[in-house]
Amino acid sequence: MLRDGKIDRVELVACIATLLASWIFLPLISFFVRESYSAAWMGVLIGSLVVWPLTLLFMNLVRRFPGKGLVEVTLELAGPFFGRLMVLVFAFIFLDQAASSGRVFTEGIASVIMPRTPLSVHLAVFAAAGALAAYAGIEPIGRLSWLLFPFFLISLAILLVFNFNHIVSGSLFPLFGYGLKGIATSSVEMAGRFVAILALPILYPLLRKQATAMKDGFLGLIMSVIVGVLVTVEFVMVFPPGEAQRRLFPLFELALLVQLGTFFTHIEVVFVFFWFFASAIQLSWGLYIANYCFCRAFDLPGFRPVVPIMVVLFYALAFLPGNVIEAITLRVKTLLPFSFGFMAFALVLLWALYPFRRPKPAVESGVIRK
Amino acid sequence: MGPFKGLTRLPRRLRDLVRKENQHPQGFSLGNRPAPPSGPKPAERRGGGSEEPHFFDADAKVDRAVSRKLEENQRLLKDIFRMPENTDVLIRPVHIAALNRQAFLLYIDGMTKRETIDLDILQPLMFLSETAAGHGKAPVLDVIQKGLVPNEKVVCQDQMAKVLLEVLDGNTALFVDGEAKALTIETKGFEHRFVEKPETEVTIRGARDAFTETIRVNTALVRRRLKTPNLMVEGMRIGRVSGTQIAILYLDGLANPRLVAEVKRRLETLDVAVIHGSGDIEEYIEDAPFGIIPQTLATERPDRVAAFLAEGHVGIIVDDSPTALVVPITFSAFIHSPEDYSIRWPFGSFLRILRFLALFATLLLPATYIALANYHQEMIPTALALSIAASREKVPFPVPVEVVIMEVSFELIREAGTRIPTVIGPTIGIVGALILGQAAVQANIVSPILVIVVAITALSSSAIPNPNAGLSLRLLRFGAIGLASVLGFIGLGLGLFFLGIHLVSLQSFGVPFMSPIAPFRPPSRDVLLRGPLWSMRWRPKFVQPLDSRRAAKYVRAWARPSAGAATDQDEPS
Amino acid sequence: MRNAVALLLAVAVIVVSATGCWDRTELNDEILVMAMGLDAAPEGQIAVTFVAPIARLLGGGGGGGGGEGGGGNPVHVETVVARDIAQAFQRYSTLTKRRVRFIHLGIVIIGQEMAWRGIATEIDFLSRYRELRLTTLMAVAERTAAEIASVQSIFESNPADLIEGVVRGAESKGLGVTTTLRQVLYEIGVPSVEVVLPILRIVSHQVGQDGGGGATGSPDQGSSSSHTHLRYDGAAVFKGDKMVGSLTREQNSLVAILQGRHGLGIITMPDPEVPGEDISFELTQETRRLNTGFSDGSPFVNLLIKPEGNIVEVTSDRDYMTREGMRTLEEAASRHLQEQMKAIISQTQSEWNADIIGFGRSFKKYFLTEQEWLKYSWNNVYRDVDISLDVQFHIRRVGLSWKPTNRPEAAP
Repeated sequence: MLRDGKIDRVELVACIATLLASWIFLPLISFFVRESYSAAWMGVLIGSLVVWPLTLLFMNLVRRFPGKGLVEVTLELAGPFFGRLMVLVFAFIFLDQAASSGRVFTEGIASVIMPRTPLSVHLAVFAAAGALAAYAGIEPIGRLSWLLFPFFLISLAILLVFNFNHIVSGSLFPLFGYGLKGIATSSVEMAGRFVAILALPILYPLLRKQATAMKDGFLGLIMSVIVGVLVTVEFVMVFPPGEAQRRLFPLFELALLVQLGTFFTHIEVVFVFFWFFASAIQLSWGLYIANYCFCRAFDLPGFRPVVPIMVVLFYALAFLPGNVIEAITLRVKTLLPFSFGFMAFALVLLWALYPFRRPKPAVESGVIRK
Repeated sequence: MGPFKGLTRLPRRLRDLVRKENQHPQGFSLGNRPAPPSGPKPAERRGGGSEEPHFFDADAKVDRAVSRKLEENQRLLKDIFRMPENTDVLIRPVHIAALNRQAFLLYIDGMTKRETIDLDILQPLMFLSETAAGHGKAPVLDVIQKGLVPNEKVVCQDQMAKVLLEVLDGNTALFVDGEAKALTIETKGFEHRFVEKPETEVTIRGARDAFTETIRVNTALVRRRLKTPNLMVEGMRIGRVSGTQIAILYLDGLANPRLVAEVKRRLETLDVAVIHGSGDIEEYIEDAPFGIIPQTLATERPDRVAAFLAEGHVGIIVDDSPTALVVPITFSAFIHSPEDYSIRWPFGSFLRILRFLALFATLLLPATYIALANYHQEMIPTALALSIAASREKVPFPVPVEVVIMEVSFELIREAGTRIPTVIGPTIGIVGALILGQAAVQANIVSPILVIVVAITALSSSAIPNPNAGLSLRLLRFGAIGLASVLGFIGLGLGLFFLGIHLVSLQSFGVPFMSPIAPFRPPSRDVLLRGPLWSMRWRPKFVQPLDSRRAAKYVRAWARPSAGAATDQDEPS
Repeated sequence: MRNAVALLLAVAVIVVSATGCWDRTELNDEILVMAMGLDAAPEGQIAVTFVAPIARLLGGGGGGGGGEGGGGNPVHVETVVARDIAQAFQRYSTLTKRRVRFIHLGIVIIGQEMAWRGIATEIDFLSRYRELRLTTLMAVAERTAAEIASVQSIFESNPADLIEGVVRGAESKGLGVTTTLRQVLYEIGVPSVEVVLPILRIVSHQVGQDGGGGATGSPDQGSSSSHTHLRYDGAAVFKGDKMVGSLTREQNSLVAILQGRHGLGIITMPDPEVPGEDISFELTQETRRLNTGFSDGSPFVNLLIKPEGNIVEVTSDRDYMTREGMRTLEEAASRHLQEQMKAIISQTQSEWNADIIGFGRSFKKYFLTEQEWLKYSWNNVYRDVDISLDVQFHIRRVGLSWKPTNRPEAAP
């Protein structure tokens, strides 16, 4: 009855959706409104959908190597040195997304709920949660993300529904906001955040049911796209774009407005409580995947000893920017476009190398064991 | 999964003998599967003096056959039992007049039923033996066994160890001069408690018998509910000193053989001096010994055990212990109660929702109060916030201290309530709660609203049907209080996240604790809520029963238009 | 595992000993500001008035409340003059060791002088400080906010609720609408809609010696014969962040209907057939259809409003309870509402040039990008927009009587 670490279908969906949807905690929406005004939702939609064709190509490549995932394929195709370098960049992308999300989410908590508690404590709480989950292994993370995923969705649904009464008509016009240039910029940044969908090809060898991987991955993506677009639209309609670009923590601001009747009027903490789970799960996945990449790249037999190192890296990355504005802009303006660019680059490179290094038939590759 | 290795950790020689006993149809059954003669060799085990735990061991003396000489047997037994000093072991000399043989009975006073010895053994041997005299040529013991001792169970033994085992169980041994064998006669009759009502798992409509301390009574209570030859009651002895009998119950052909084998493997490999009860076994066999969540179900209700067996679980009954264990177990044990099935499904489901809320209240209510009153005051409606502030004006302690004071007091009341003699127990409980709460409020040690919070928490913790689970929640509650006092809701979130990781990592005999929710398997409509009985046609999948169908496709066949024509041809999905 | 136990123990020790860790505060160590007033002060300073209940005097439950009731007004009102709100906040909080918190702040009142001067410079604190919510109500004081804040409550057990209660109550009775900080923030910033804030006024009542004054929390020994009340009295119209004029109470409820918010309340109009008598309707719901566009390059607005209501009072002896009578009344009411509303709209256009109805919002869809919309400059256009208004009033119910009450019985 004891099994190797594998993840189920629903767990994969929850994983992809949580990884991809957790950007809504970041001030990205405000960023997009600053770039494209009332058309912010277009950037979200385009940017999040544009990664899917790339993912298809990645998956197509990975499937030609039975029993292997993107990491192993990269190592095989790009060689031990360059391949390892690329895998480390993958690891960095996931770790950094976790770090930036963690930093900004905790900045949000510190700004909205608990201003006197040091940020290091907030982040330590996060790191502890993520570290324990990553240490426990992929099965617990998968199960927990599946277990907590409904709460995330329900909390968002409540948030959206109970802000309907605040909607200001006409906020989504002019249709194209500041113009197409802004939408394009937002799209690239959004796509950079959605590079996290690489979790699908990376975790591919760990899936219990590989046949439905594409379907489940797409389901996760679509769920996150719907969540992202709905939140963006609602935010822009509740805070018309002029005000929306002024608000630093969009989701927190929406939570601050929710009133359930006259008795429960200030319940943002409850939302944050549930978002904490989503954020911690995202962090766990980020740590685990970064860890996985690292261990596969250097052929380490077990991943547990590396977890503390990853946590320290996460902590350091999270504290890199000096203040909240820097923390936000650094990621959005440099790392997100870089992530997307690297994804495209990796895709082109791997496919270009593929004809020269086709897999030999009947090659079996092991799976990381606990 | 390892093969079925070795049998028990009985005194070494006894173990080998007991294994042979399996071939006998009578006697204490140790399973029907032929046991491969593997296991550690006696010689190896005897050698390792230093690494072996130091147990009391009578091997050297026991390890021999019954002698043909009566005096020798008597001397040996007196030596084994240190007779003159050991007062409850009795040797009763008998002269079997008709056969003209000297003999003696060996039994332990208090463990045996006196009338049985008098009427079934002594009377026929001493007065009625003429009736058997005609057999002449037949072996003496055969004559006695077949014609002289009118007892239900008389077994011929040739090994001293075996005889001792029987005597220690409360039977009587008959040694006859000139015979290299002894007869053991069923005379168990020690004083024991009768079947009574369950005390902690009370139901209103369900059955009201509970396990008692006698293993045979307990197995019979279960068997009465599952009248099928497939119900296996396998036995073993654990504990070198206590020699405690353990019965492993499962339905052959339903319970997954790998599960059964795993249970046996874990029990067999136990090497301890004493098993005090099912609590010991629980601690020895659970998957995560540091886990705070109970990974086996300890129940005092035979109907509950029977219900679990019927789903493919395995039950473990330990002699001298009025609680049985069921493995594997999932989180549903926290909210399921046998009462759910004795009332109709809407009410059963409602009660489960209530218990689910109680579960969260037990765990989180005081912590939530701390988080609200100390960190997130904006969530409290203004009027309430002001009245809390007013009521706390004179209270010198911070809220967490207040909460800890009250929680500890209530736990004390609770603990005292179970220890205090029954007559004054409830009074103490009520008086304690009332006086303590009221006085604490008036002395400005705690604020009135806190008394409400703690009272609701106490009520909730009593609503959890499984006392073990309730205990772990009560303990975890203090952790939640601590985290909430330091970081408010964020701390609570961290605590719940940790708990979540613990829960999903936990396995009970290889079955994930959170099954069938995480990992997600199609539920059997009996997880959080309970469906109508006729719709719960499938057994829970997570124990991987060999046959997952619980009922025919149309249980209520009478309600179909073509009543009686219903078939159950459907396949398990 | 031993480490984990040690960790738990450490946490327990911290918990027990941590009386002042980070964000933890006790409710009884806090001052909950429930209303805040902002007034203009000399030399560009600002006078901030804080209204906070004194929990001790409100009485925790049934305990010592009665005995301490005479202790005085359970509300503490304090005005602090400072350079900005943050400074005033800091000065105010030095009053006691208690922590001043805005988490239960219900309303911010702006003195009239400040409203005319402009509120944009002061509103930043409100939008930035974490404890202030954007759901906080905003209102304008007829004179000064400090004066409004010092009014004592007669009915409320918690007098600090008073100001917020008056504004919320007015909305539920159809006298006007509430405006939250969130609306003010975005309406100040965009040209397509302007801010309307309720005006609060103090009214004095003379009462007899045995009047209803006994119900107050603080019966004065001298039994002063006058009581002051707060009253919701119309609304202030802003252009940008500056107040430009005011609406009466009646006008304000019509503006609510024009804006498409749920109009409630009672509308009284002159009897169409009997001069000097009145008819009152109670509005129940309305449908609003807004049609905008450009004809020959110039913008037009067609607004159709279909209010529904019940008759609550007819003072004349005219029998309107016939099919024809109903029609007469409906037409008269429609005409009455239309005239009133038209007057308001033309006032916003010609006098204030402030689009308080928010017609501008529905013109944004004709522009593809924000740049084009800004270039169009709604501010300059609004004055000349062709706005046509059609009101179709429908009577649904007439109450419980079928004939005029004051009419002598007569054979048909």
